[in-house]
Amino acid sequence: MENVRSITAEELHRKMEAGNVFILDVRNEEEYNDWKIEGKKTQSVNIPYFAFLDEMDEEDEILSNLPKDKEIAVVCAKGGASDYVAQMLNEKGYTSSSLKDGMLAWSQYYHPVTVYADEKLKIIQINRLAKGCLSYAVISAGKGMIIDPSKDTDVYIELAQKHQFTIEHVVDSHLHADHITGGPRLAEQVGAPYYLSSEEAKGTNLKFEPLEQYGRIKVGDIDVEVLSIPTPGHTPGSTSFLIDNRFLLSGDTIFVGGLGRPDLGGKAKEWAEDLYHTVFYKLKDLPDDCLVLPGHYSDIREMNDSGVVAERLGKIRENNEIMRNEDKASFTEQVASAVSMEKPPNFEEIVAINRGELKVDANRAIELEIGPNRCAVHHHGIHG
Amino acid sequence: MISEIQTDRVLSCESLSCPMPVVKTKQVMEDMKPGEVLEVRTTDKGSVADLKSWANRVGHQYIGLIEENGVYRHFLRKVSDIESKAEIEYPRQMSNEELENKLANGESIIVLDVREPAEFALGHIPNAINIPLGQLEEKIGQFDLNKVYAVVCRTGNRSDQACQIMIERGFSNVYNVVPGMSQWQGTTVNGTRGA
Repeated sequence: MENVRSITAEELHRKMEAGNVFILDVRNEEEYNDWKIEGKKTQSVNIPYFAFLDEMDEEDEILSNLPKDKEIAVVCAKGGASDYVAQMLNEKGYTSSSLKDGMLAWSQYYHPVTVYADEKLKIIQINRLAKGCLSYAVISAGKGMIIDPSKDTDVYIELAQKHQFTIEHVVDSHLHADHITGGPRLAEQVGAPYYLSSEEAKGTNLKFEPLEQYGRIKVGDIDVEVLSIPTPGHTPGSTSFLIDNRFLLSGDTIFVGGLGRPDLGGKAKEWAEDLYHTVFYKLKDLPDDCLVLPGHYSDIREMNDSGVVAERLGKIRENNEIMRNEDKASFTEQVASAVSMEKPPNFEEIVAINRGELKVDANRAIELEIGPNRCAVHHHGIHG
Repeated sequence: MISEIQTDRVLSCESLSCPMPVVKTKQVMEDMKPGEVLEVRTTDKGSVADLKSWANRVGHQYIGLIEENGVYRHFLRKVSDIESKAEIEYPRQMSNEELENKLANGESIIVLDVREPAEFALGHIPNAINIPLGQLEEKIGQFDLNKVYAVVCRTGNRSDQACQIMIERGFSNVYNVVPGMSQWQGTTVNGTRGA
């Protein structure tokens, strides 16, 4: 559309980080309340585009919510309505732009952040901001392991080129219910083995290396080892990865803001007991200064000031009453009672794809993943 | 499967993407008369929630949606000022529950639904007969003056007017069902059944 400047998801994110953009989301209220773009330094407001169809004068109440001194990024589902509204706002003297391809593009935007780097080890967190999905690259001596890759596997291949490593291992911490895994595909593309816990792969025809048979997986030619700690709870074969006793890649077991939800297999109570066991026995001896790097987050307050979603285990223990609740019965009840909340959108279909039982085309895959992530038990004791 | 639903206008927005279906619907609705029903055909999935939200926002009635062969058929009714302000005047009323009970007990009552065909087609009381309020004067002559009638619409306004017309025409056993179909808890069926 003429007179409208469109911005990409990446540009928008850059402006959000710099704190110099205001988001006007013109989807309907239900969609906005369900799922929206959020940033620590970014204010957003929801005014459905159809509110802009009526003639309005300068004094109109709707316009009074919009800043004149800041760029307004207009956002909708696919970019059509945002073009329309942005053009209208520009004609009224606002500086506005339109997010190209809307939330559709935002849902496929990945932002890599280096969590840690020394001469032996580099850990990169790849943040899919729209979904709150986190995947990781663990890099050493030009070799790398990718953990929980999303379906857009080019992201990891480009990352490997940029950081000059070859992908030698591809791992899924568990069978995901909220997003389509890129694990098997990425492994095939780069000729690396794909690992998954046998518990998770039960009854499927997936080709995988059984994780539980690898106590350690070597990444690079120096002594960085990844130790699999089976952490059932979220799903029966959920696995965490411990690097050097300093970094715990916790999958969907422990989040910065809480614990994973154990209900998606329909056995909330049994799995809640597994989760209890994980929290109080298997992870008990890990040091407080171990940095937890989770597979998801559901609130931007879980992100620290450097844009990394991570927290010291000690701090999580301190902040999460549920992790200190050593009474098994009340722990189980508390976790199981938190599971009545909405399930991730389309989770049954996504699970079927991840089990290799269902094939969908690229468009359907995008459509299935649209929407928020709902994998965490929302959300005990977040401390901003 | 319902395919023929009588409306006053049909707006084709197939293959148009957001925001055009809502933009065009708004334009067409401005030219329509109060009480008239518009069918909007879209293929954009986003139009489903958007047309509904828009209608609620501006006060039109979103009657319902039928999905047929990948086409979304939305039915919207322009609500008239008179209707939204009108007070219910006809004194003989019957509550939704009373009607539901009487029908369940097999009492001999003719349910006359005076909403528009599209509203009727998307859900009505079993065995109800559909005569839109605008056609009532012309069609009521064929009905038996001595039977019992329960007249229903969405909120009790149109049926109130219908009851008054029927009394003028010599009917005696006529009840206005309140609040009407918007609150109906009993069974409903889809389809058309006119007089």
